[in-house]
Parts: sequence; structure tokens; C-alpha cells
Amino acid sequence: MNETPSSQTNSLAEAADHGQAHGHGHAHGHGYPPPDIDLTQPGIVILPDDGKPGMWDNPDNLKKLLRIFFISCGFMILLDLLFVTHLLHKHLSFKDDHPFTPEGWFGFYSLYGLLACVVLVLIAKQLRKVLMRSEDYYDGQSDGQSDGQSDGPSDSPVDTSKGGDHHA
Amino acid sequence: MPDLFGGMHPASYLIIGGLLCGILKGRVRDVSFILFPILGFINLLGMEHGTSELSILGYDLVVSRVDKLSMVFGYLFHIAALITSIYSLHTQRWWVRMSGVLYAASAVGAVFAGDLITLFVFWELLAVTSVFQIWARGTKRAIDSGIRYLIMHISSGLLLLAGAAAQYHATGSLLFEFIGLSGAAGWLIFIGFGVKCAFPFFHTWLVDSYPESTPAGSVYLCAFTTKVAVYAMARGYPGTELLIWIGAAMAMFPIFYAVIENDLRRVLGYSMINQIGFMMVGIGIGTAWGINGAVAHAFNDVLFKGLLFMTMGAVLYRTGRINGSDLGGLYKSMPWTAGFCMVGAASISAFPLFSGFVSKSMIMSAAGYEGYTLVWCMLLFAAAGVFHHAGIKIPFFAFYAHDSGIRTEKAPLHMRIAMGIAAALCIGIGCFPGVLYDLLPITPEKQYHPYTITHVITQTQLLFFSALAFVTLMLFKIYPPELRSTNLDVDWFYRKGLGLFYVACDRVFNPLNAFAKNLFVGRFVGRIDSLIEQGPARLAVILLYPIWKMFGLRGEELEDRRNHFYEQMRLGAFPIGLTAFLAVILFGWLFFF
Repeated sequence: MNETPSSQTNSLAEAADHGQAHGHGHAHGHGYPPPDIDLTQPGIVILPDDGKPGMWDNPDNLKKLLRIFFISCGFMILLDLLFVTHLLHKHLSFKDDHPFTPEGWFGFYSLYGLLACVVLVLIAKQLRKVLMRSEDYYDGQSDGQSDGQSDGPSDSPVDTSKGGDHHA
Repeated sequence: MPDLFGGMHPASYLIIGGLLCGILKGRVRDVSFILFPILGFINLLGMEHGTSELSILGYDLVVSRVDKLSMVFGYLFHIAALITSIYSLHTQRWWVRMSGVLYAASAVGAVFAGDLITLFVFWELLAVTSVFQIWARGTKRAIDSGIRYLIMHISSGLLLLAGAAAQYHATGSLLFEFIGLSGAAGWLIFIGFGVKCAFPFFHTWLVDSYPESTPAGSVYLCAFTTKVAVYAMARGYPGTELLIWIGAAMAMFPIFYAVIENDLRRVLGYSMINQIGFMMVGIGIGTAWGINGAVAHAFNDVLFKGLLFMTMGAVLYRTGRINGSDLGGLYKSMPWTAGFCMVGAASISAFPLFSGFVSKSMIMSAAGYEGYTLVWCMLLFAAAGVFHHAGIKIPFFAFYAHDSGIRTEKAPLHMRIAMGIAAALCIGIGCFPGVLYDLLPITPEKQYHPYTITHVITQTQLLFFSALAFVTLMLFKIYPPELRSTNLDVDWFYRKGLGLFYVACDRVFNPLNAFAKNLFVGRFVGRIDSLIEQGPARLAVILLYPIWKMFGLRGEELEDRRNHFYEQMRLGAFPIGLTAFLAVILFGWLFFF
């Protein structure tokens, strides 16, 4: 997200270096680019790793983010005190005489969101036991590697220079 | 403007633009690709409310009816056509471009159709023009999926046609107004619309086909088909109580699938059903807030879901991968796309200042205000869930999470421009909802205000604690990892179940057939056959045997005579002279006596 300009120019320079190469497959030796990526497809560009760590490769940044997040969660639930102490009036979704009162309770929305997501994930996890099949379950014996797209005339050899073609 | 643009059918500019895409080449084609949605939009601005009729074969067809409800969808589809055109500028094949623009034109035609026959024509055109966006992918999976898609949608159109015929028979009118679930016609059309709305059990076409289409194709698909169906429901079935429960189910069940699904575009497909569920609830409630909320949410959904599909399309276009298990760390290579994805995620999750906030809550308020407690709770659950899978899972597994090691280039400029327009609209509507509210079909007695302190605080609480659940489950490693897999859905019944049915039929009926054949053809017919073939000979031998004995034939001679005669009789091979002689005797006997 906040990539430095230098790393961008760097990757663009390497993109230019590999402009010719990327249609014919690289010989990097250590399994990069991954063999499942069809480099002949127009649009696909696989660059070598420039080795620059991203913002989130630094665990301190992640820790900082999590700390800020937990504090704001605490702050958000405390905002309910404004309603409980009647400093602010809580406009409920239901009409005043409706018997469903929990909406006005302290922490209702926070707790509902938390529980809903935990329940959702736990049930979904159990569903996997029933529903999950192998990736090519519907394919029979045909190959499951149908990633990538074809956007050039499929019967003619694909023009590799079209890969990074910008028409705008 | 009115002189130049007045009097044209709302879809005409897109139809012309689509046909030109099939003829033109190069830069001129690119320009017309973008220009015609804009011209159509300007044409729409000058339109006045009213109808225009056309008389064909004695039927008065209302080919265009302009009112507030059709106008808001008309604007929406032109904006969507413009954004998708810009997004798919890399597409070279003329038929993909042409079918794309004609697809948008069909959607516009359908929402302006004033009678059921015109609606049916555009309804089927929607199906036929859209399938090319799936087939353009060119893989076997895509071709098969496109055929399943087509079968579903053509069936939906046929249900609509049958319903229209029944409606005409019952009421003598083909006008497309409120229909309601009163008779057979109402139910037929309801189910026809329901297939396109992705009702539970009919929803499989959506999650089957969208992930198989091209990167730009899924953006086209998500914008038009289901939204035309939502429009049709809002027109024909407002206030139908059944829709509330169907909608609540649609909002609930897909989020479980979305959590365990690996293909990120399929996750968006499930999330789309979830959003349509909200719209169905709004239409089912049928009050001003309900209908307006549903329409506003459809408007926003095209923009934010389109934006999310565009970001995932860009990832697929650049890396050839779309499974959550194969991606991660792409924020380094595709920072713009990651940013746009976050905007889309915030919008669909209904964060304050983003577009979902001003429309989803209108539906929930309508449900609460009318006292649907259970539905309200289900929708709140779904609202938390949608943040969980579409808001967090999509950006997290594509752009952050575990670094997959893939480095690529930024998305092409035209894709970034398209995503930028959609993102700007998402934020714009979120910040200035009044612009959208003015377009909504019903003028409510009490204007809805999304930005109350209560709403901002409670919604933020809901979302923050949903995120907290995600973070906690991730940190404790309880969250289910992304796995390469297929998850069974209702389509199992026709994709595997039909196959099993075939095998079962093969196992049961073919042996039965063989048995019957054995019994009747092998034995019974054989017996009759041999009876006819050998019966007379045997009878003759039995009759002649005593006579031969009387004439004194014995032992081997008798056996020889018998076998010889039997063979001759069976083959009908008596010497001609003998037969002729006997015949002459017979005739002589007849003549003289």
C-alpha cells in the first residue's frame, strides 16, 4: 500500500528486463515462477522477487496495528456508556412498544458481532467435514489446472507483447 | 439535448454501440466502447416520464415505460456499462466486446419494458448475450459452466413466458405492473424471476459461472443479470411476505459457504447472494423504506461488488491465480488494487462514509420498524458475516496474509481507472447519500437519515467486534485455513446426482432390459419362430408316420424316409415336379367332381 517510489521504479526496471522473457518461461531454477502459472497467457506478469521487505514483513508493524485495533475495540464498547447513562438517546430499530429490548442493552451490538462471527466460523468449519471434496471433484479425469484466462484469439499463437499492453 | 437525444429508446445507444464494436477496429473501437454508454446516459437524463407503445400483430407492446423505478436502474446500468467497458479495454476479441455491450443494452431494455412480452424478449437476450462472458475464458470448465448457466436462464425465461400467457388469459392484459402471488400466472412469473434472483436451490448458476468467466466477464455478470431480477421483483411483487423469508435465508446460508470457499471470486459470488437476500427482504416488507432500501442497495451493490470483482479480476489477470491458498502478499506488487479492494470491502461491510452504510441499514430499519424481530436478527447476523468474509477475507487472503512469493506488475492503467471510478462512487454515495436518495422510486413520509449518532456508533461496534473475532480466531489458529477444495452445493444434484442417476438407471434398467430381451426375444419369440418353422413339418410327419408303417416301411428305411421328409417339409423343398403333379391331380379332382 505504501510502497516506496524507489521500489516501484526498481520493479518496473526489472519488468522491462523481463519484457521479452516472460512469454517463454523463465529458467530460475528454484521453482520460481511457480509452474502452475501459464506464462503464455496475455496479462500475466511474474517478476523476480526484488528482496525488499514490505510493510507487513516487519512483525513490529503488525504488533502496532493489533495494539491500536484492540484499544479501539475497547473504546468502541465504552461508547455504549453514553447511551446507558442517557447522555445520548439510543434510537432503536424497533418501535418503542416492541417487546424485543436487548437492542438497547450495554454492548449489544459489540457482543452480537463477536458471537455471530465466532459461531459462523465454527459452524462453517464443521460444514467442511460434510461438504469438502477434492478440487477436481467435478472434473473427472480432466486437468484441474484451469487457472488463467485467454483473452487473445485462441487458435493463433499468442502475441506475448500483448501481455502488459495498456490500451487506455 | 432533447432535440438530439429525445425520442430514442433508452437501450438504443448501447445497442448501436454494441453493434459498432463488432465492426470497428483499433482505437476507434475503444473510443466507441466508452462513448456509447456516456451517450446513453445523457439520453437518459433528457427522458421524461411516460410510455411509448408499439403495435405488433394486434398486441400493443409498451416497449418503454419511464418512471422513477426504471430510471434509477437505467442510470445504474449505464454507469456499470461505462465502468466495465473501461475495465475490459484489454479484451481484443470483437465478439466478447460486442456481447458485453449488448448485454448491458438488454439489461437497460428489460428495466424499461412496460409489458411482459417485451420483458421476456430482453430477459432472454440477457441470458444469451451474457454467456459469452463465461465462454470467453475458453477452458473446458468455462464452456461446461456456460452451458449450465444458459439452461438455467433460458428456463427462467420460459417460466416468464408461460406466466405471461397465463396472465393474459386471466386478465386480458400484458402490462407489467404489480402481479402478486394470486394465481398460477403469479407463481410462474415469481419462480421465473426467482431463478434470476438466485433464490436458494436456484442459486447455483451464480456461484458456478461467475468464477469461471474471464476477469472482465465476472464484472459484467455481477452488474446486470441479478439486478434486473431485483428490479422485476420490486415491480411485480412488492410487499409479498414470502420474499422476506426467502431473502432472510439468502442472506444467511451463503456466508457459511463463503467462509470455507477457496476461490475468491466464488466467495464474492456467495456474498452476492447474501446481498440480494437483503434486497429481497426489503421488497418483501414493501414499505417505502423497504423498497427504497432494496433499490438503493442494488445500486450500491453493483458498484461495490463490481469493484471487488474488478480487484480480484486484476489479480487473476496479472498472476493467473485466484485461490486464496495460492495468493497473499500482493500488496507489495499491486498497491493500487489492494487499496481499491479495501474501499470495496469497507463499502460492502457498511462502514460509515462508505456506500453500504446508507442502504443496508435502510432495509434493516424497515424490518425493525415493521416488527420482524427474527428477520432483523438474521440480517444483523448476515451483516456481521458479510464483513467477515467479503470485508476481511477477500483483501486479507489476496493481498496480505502469508506471502505467496509472487511478484507481479501493477494492474493495467485502464483497470485502475475503472476501479478508481467505482471506488470514488462508493465513497461519494457514502458521504452524500442524498444524491442517491433523490433517485429512489418512493417518496417516503419520513425521510431516512443514515447518519444518526446511534447508527454510526452501533454499526462501528458491530464491525469492530466482527473483526475482533477474526483476529482472535486467526491468532489462536482456529480460523479454517484456505484449502484447495470444492464444496458441495445444491448443484451436486444435477452435476453428480444426475450422473449417479444415470449410473443407477444403467444398473437397474439395462439388466432388466436384458432379462426381458432374453425372456421374450430369446425364448418366447424363438419358440413361436420354431413353432411356425417346424410345426407343419412335425405335424405332417406325425400324420404320415402310421401310413408309412402301413405300407411296410421298417427300421432304418422308415427313419430315413422320416428325416428326409421332415427336412423337405421344413425347408419347403419338395421337388417342383411332384408339387406340380399333386396340384394337377387336385385341380382335376376339383374339375371332375
